[in-house]
Amino acid sequence: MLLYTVGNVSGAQNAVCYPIAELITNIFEHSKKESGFIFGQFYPDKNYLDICIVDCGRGFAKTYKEEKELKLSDAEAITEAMKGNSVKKDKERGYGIRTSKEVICKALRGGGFILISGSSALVSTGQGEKLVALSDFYWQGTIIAYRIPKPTGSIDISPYIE
Amino acid sequence: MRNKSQNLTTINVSKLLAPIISSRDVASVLEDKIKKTDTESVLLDFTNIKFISRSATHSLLLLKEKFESKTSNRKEVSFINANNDIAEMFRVIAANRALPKKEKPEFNPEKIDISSLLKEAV
Repeated sequence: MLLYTVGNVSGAQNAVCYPIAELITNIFEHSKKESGFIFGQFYPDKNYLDICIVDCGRGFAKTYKEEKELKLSDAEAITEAMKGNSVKKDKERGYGIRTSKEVICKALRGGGFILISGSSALVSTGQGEKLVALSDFYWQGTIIAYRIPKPTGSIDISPYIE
Repeated sequence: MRNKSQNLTTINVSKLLAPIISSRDVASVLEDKIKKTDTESVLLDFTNIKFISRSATHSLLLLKEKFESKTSNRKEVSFINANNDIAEMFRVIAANRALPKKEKPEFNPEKIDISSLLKEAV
C-alpha cells in the first residue's frame, strides 16, 4: 500500500523500504520488546507520506547502560547512536538509524525526521539538526516519525547507505 | 534445485523467504538450508526479490564468508539474478566491509529546548 501511494518511480521502492526495514529491525534487536507499532498516512492533496515507528522498549540511554555500561543522558545516548556507536560487539554495526535519516532527508528529499527517546528529541530537516530537550515529557522507548514527499524523479539511495 | 553434473544447488530465496527481506534472521534460515546441500557450490537466486535491507545484506555477506572459509564442508556461495537495487546494496555493503571508513561520522546538532523550538516554528 505504501509503495502504491508513493508511485512507480525508479528507486522509490528501495528508498521507502530502506528506513522502514532498518528502523523496525532495531525494535527487535535493541528494545527488548517483541512488538512495535508502525503508522502510515498518505495525504493525496498535499502529496506527502507520514510514517511513524514506535516501540515501548528500554530506549537509547538504558540500552547503552545495559549493553555497554555507559551512563548517558537521553541526549548523549541519541548522539552516540548518530555517531554510529553500536551496542553490538560485531564490527560494521550502527549504520541503521544514521543511514535511514540520510535516505529520508537527502535521497527522498524528506520534509523532516524526528527521533524521540526518553526526554530528548532529534529534529532533522534540510535546514539542519537540533537536539531538543523535552520538558515535562518522557517516552519509555523510541518514537521515530518522518515525512517524505511523493517522489517525482528517480531516486538513488546508494550514496547514503555507506 | 540440484544440478549434480555441475555440482551446484540453486536456492530460490523468494520462495524460501519472501520478496522483501529485512531481518538479519534470514541468514540463519539460509544457513540451515545451505548446510543440507550436498554440492560444493550454492547459488542464492534473487529472482522476484524486490527489496533487501542493509542489515540482511550484511548478514548474507557474513554467511557467504563463513561457508567459504570453512575447512570441512566448505561451500562456495554466490548471489544470482539480483535486480539493480539489490546488486547495488550488495556492492556498497561489501565495499564498506572490505575498506571501512576510518573517520567517525560528524554529528553536531544545535542544542535547544522545546519552547525555543516552538517559538522558531511560529
